[in-house]
Amino acid sequence: MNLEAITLKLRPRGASEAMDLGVRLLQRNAGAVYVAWGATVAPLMLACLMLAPVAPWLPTLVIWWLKPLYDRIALFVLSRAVFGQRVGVRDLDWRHMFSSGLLWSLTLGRFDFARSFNLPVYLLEGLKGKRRRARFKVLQKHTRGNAVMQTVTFVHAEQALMLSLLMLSYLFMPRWLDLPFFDWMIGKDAPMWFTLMTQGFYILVLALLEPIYVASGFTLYLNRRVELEAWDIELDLKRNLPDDEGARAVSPPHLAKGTR
Amino acid sequence: MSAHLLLDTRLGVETPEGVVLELRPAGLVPRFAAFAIDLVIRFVIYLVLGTALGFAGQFGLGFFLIGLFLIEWLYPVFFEVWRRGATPGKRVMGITVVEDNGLPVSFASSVVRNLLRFVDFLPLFYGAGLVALLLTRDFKRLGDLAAGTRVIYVDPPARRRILPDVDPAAPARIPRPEVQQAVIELAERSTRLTPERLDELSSLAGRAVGVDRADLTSSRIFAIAAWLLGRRASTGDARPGQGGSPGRRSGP
Repeated sequence: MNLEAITLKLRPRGASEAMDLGVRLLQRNAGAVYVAWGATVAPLMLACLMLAPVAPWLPTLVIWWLKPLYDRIALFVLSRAVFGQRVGVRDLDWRHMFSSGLLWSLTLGRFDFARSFNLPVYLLEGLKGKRRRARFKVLQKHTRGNAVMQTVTFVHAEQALMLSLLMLSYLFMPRWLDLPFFDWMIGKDAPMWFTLMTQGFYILVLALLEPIYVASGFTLYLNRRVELEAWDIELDLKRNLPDDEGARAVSPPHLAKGTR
Repeated sequence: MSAHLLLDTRLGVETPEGVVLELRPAGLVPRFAAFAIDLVIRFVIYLVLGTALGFAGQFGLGFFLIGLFLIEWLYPVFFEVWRRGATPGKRVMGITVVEDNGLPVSFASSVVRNLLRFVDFLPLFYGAGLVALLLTRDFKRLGDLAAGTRVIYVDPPARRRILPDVDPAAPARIPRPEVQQAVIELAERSTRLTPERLDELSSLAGRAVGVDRADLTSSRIFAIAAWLLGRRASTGDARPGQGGSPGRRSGP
């Protein structure tokens, strides 16, 4: 990790402000994230839609359950973007993205309310077992509450947008068709096109919110590290070393474990 | 990397006097929390009002509905205009409503921004407002865009201004203001850092201010930080102004 290449303004921030920065981070790097998703997550979601004939509620459940997979891809792209690297589809490093903590994140870890905040530790720090647990303890101190708050917010946002889209489709449905829309909505023998439409809505909502959720969790994590390791001070000092010190300051070894 | 390319949420607003004010707009998470708190408060008000007016039959119902209408529409306006820009929920979250240029929100702007809640609410449960909040650079819902207002953080993040207790010592030469700032911050935040990290940064700071490698310890850096903040060894009676800005004391 080369701290001097960081594209974020480093300064002490409150936790909420740090999460807001994630929204801006995604706004700036949306292209890279959606390109990576288009090649990986989009086909996966379409495959999930094939499950609709088995049970109408199944695709939504599977798509929801597999969120940690999409998160990892988005985080991989964003973690590079933060240090000024643009990642294309070919650069996606599958081993790196899915080798650490995958089983946990798809089972019990799926219900972790600080998911977005914890993910960077799995993906970027390469720690295992006891050391990883100790690391979580340090990082989550004073910050876990904010991460949980973020998840609660996004759960509500997801529901609100979902209902918004359903309402919108209802408003645009011609009255003379006289469809039993509300019966379908509570799952009473809805036709296949309606099922697929609602699942399409869910994919849209997820495509908008999930990358922002990941980005905000990531900036919250970065903010915690800036706080614990005083990255901003390091950067200020390095940029102002006296000119006679020719050699560039090198990142200390225990930091280099992160993004490379 | 030039500074203006670095990503930040801060906005600079220039006053007619040429002073740049920094506003820090607040995004979805704190605003959602503030909204939730206000929702609970309004709910409690309705509960009390409803119970009290319940005894008055039809007349009470009519009165309750009027109350519902007034509170639902004027609750935010009242707090924004007469209570320094923040509803109780926003106060708890440390955020407040201001005009785009940072002035206190005016009555007209507050009314516009809160009447347009109706639009933000469409199609259901603030769907439009939510999308606008996430897609604009300074986190505005449609009501904010129309009224020219924004929601910002009130207080800067808390900063410790306590230095470790060491005798101040002058550096070999007066460093640049940025370095002074960094050295002082390092001393202030030293208790949050691990010992190894503190050593790393101290050696970096030592090189930046030109301390001999031989007598370089973190307490030496703290001593310089104390000196830069205007403290002097207690032998002299002159104790120059405490809390003077670090830049000011770097004269010839």
